[in-house]
Amino acid sequence: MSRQIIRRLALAVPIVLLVSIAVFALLHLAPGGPAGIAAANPKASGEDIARIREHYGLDRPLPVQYLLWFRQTFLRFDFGTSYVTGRPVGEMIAQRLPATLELMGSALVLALIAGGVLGTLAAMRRGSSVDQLFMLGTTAGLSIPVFWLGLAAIYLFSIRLGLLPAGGREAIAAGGGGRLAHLVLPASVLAVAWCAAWSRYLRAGMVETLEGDFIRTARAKGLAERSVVLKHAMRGAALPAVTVLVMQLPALFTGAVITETVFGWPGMGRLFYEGLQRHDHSRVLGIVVISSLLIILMNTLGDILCMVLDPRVRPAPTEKGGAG
Amino acid sequence: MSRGIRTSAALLLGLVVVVSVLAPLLSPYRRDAIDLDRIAAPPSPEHALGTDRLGRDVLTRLLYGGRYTLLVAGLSVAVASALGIVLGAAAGWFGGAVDRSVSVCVDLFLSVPLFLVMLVAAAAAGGRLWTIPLVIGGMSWMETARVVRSRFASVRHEEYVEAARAAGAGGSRIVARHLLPQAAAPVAVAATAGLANAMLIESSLSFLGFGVQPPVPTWGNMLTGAVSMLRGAPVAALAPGLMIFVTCFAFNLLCSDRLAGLANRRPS
Repeated sequence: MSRQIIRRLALAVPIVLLVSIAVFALLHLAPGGPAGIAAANPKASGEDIARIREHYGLDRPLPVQYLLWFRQTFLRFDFGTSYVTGRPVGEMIAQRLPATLELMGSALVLALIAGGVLGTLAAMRRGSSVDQLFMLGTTAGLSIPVFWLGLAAIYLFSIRLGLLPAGGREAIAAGGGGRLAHLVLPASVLAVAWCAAWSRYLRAGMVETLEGDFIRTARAKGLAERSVVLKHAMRGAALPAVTVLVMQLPALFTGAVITETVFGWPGMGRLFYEGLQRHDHSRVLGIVVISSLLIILMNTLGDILCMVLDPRVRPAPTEKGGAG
Repeated sequence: MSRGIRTSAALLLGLVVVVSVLAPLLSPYRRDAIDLDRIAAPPSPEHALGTDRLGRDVLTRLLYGGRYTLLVAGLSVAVASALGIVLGAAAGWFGGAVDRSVSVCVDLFLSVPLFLVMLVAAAAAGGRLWTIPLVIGGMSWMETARVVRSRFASVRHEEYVEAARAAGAGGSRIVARHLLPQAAAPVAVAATAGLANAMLIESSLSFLGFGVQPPVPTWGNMLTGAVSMLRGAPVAALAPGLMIFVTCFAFNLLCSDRLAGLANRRPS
């Protein structure tokens, strides 16, 4: 068990190395960058551009640039300075993190509650028309482009009905009411998207559990169906769902690029997107690297949870754990 | 999902494909024709779905958009399936070190924020009709590789494989004639779900401005900046997204029963 975990964590080193090299190369392949921005300025002379390239170290060979970035990031834990704002990338991330946590956290809670109820109901009546409707509805939910759901929500709730603000995140000083109103639409849109996937995991786990012998025993000793499902089956079914949930947690940091863009939410997703648009290499690289580390950590944690909660998984399987 | 629902989904997809293929015959205007008198206009007798911000007919671009959207999704899945089959087959057939390297590759791709990396790659690749499928397909092959590998690994030691070997068949013949057909069904399921996912990814990239670049219309890039059009021309801002939704829904209905968790990697 521990050997497997150590192996997975050890893999983090080559993975982060490869990812950062790939993203670094891709960023430098794309036209633009700080020198490109200066070159677009008609007042900038060739000398100015050369000075800018030298200032950011862009005149050195790419491998050298990468090694310098690597040394700075992993040995000094410094993600560098943004070309665009001139501020440290770490500071920009720290500033955006609360907004992202707020949005992703509320969406996650909403999705958990709605998905839990829907998935359980569908599993209890599996095969019935309720279940059919559930499968149809969640398949629809999995097929909606998130940006379109956002557009439709803005059109309906803020333009037609005038109930909720179309975007932005009200400053904290403005008080609680306005802040919540700004959160409702983006959080619900994300929640719908997640709930569809999550409730299906839960239903699948629940249906599988309900076919187990111990469930037949519980029924045979005369327990009410409600109690069979909620007390006995839930524990088995929750396992894959919890694992999936843990693996979703990195999204709390990464944010939601599309939803944040549609609703003008000042979170990590938009920080990344704006960075990419403006060729802000250190910002884009920093966010990708931190996200990757978080994903690896949470995937490993998901595996550990899976092993701790379910003894059957323990004898080192070759296939990766998780729901299927 | 009941047979009736699946049949209707298949019919709907057939209709979308036929209409997209026939787009030049059906559309009222040329693809990039501009009507300077009507810019970002609501629906009218001349323009059934209104016009976009450059004064182009939305219905025309919707019809053409189907072609490019389906083309990009199809090419992406072709790339993903090819990669997945080759890597999965190699892992399942050779086992050992090859299997372990493929599994490290899968781990690698499952350990990165895929949509963010796709955005970076799409920005570098420059949004052409042939580069976007490489970006999407190159990062969506893991599921196919997984199912092919497990199928291969489970039948590799079956008696009929031994029999084929005893009859003098070489490795490549056994793989092509005896093992690959075994993996066809799960690969087809993964590919169908993959089509829906590729459409969602392409449209998300395009919505953010990093997908296929205009003037070539896709349902996704027709929506770049649609937020600002919602007030004046809501039909133009919502219609392409509805097409994406309906088409993806149909693809997903075809493989829905096997879809427990696959589609969870949709960009949000």
